[in-house]
Amino acid sequence: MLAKLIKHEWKETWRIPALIFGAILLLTTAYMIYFSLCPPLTDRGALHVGNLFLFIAFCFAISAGDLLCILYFGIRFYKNLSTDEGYLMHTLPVSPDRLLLSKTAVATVWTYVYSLLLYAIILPVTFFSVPRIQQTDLSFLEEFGEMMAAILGGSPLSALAFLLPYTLAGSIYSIVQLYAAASLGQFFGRHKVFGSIVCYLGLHTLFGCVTSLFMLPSMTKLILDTSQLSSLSSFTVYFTGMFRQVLFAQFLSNLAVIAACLFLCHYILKKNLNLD
Amino acid sequence: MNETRTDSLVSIRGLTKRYGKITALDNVNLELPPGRIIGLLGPNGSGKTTLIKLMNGLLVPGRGTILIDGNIPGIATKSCVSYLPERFYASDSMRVEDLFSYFEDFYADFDKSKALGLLEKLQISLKSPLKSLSKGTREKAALVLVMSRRAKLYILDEPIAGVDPAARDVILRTIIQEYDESSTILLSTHLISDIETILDDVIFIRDGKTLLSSSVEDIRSAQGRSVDAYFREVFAC
Repeated sequence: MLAKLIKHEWKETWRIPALIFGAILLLTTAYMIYFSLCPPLTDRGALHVGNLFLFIAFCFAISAGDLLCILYFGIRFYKNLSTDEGYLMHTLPVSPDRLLLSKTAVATVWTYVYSLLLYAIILPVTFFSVPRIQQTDLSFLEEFGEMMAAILGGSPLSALAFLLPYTLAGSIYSIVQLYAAASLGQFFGRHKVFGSIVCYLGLHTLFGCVTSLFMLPSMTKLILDTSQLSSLSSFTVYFTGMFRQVLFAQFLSNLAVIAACLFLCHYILKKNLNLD
Repeated sequence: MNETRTDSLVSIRGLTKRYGKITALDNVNLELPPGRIIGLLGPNGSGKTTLIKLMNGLLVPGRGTILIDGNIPGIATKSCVSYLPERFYASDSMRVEDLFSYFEDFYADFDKSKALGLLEKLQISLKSPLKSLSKGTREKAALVLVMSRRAKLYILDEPIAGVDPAARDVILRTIIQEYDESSTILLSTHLISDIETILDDVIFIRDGKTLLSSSVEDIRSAQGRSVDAYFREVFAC
């Protein structure tokens, strides 16, 4: 039954995220064409303000795409399980956890792929655009790459081994947070949408605090331990090590929040369903 | 229908549901036998839909129990109850075939060929987007799918409300022709004169309480008038 639920969920939801994907890819292509055609800067002190704004607009656009994708699945969850559409979904002979899993799985696939797409777009585009905004020596790129690899694990493979589950957890975290808010919104009588928004803000703040608490020990150590500032190389090693700890703490806190949200959604769907 | 029967398809005991301070259902006790067409009758706001939603697991009861074929509302009861809600539940982007595939995929008792035959008879295309259909046609399409299941219990909430008299006839005819006589139909409405002829039993409900649960024949012989006339007297303001 789970496979059938996933099939229907996919069939009913693929159009909007695919449209967002398409729009982002088109935008990126147009952006790359423009930047490859525009003349390089000749003056070292010059700043091409137009290109700078274009780059900022591009960053906003792709972030908005990510946000829209997540928001779409949050609204879909609310509409499909809490409004008239719920009369169909909740009378199917399937358990609430299957309903929840199918929706989480499909939404996660889209948001995860979107996140990976962002990685694939944003870094190359940034380094491609920077010389057209201001004359820059890009020799620091190699060092930057090494530092990122050190933060994420040391070698490209181990960096990827951390980055992929970390991003996956981030995608599920964004989705289930909205699901939990939509589920809690059921307790707000005739103001369920408003209630869901209020709950989302509350949960977002709460989970932000939880994440901060998880990261607090690593962050405090990073800030207080100034002895490592004696030389740049030792600082780099120390900083990357600590930053890795911070990211790992965030990863763990995301997993904890995901578990809490899924439990909450499941409990409400199973024990407190009150469809209007 | 109120006395305890071991052969009941549905057994409801002390069912109470409150929305805040409002009591929608108050200590309802009912036994629904198999093989009957039962009218759940009452004015608007009497608790009919609340009772039906509780039976379908769409609401959680405050107190009391519901047993359908020996099970509390859950996966087992959803497999044997075919429910037509008062509201149309498909999303705007769906076509008739999408709704059809839900029934095909999830209900083992769904008779695909029967549904296709009925849709063809009613000239409803599988490819039609649901939002392009009139209210009456949408009701008919949903009813076809619901009645194409070989369920033990059919629960139809206001199936003829808001549609024109011609569509009403088609809907009632579909219900009578397609239902398996060993099954029970629980049909809620306040348009009694339209459905009186097809009912075996009636339940009168007001302010969340069952006022009467009896066979149509008993009412006619005891009151000497139709159920509709008796209903008007009982629920006169």
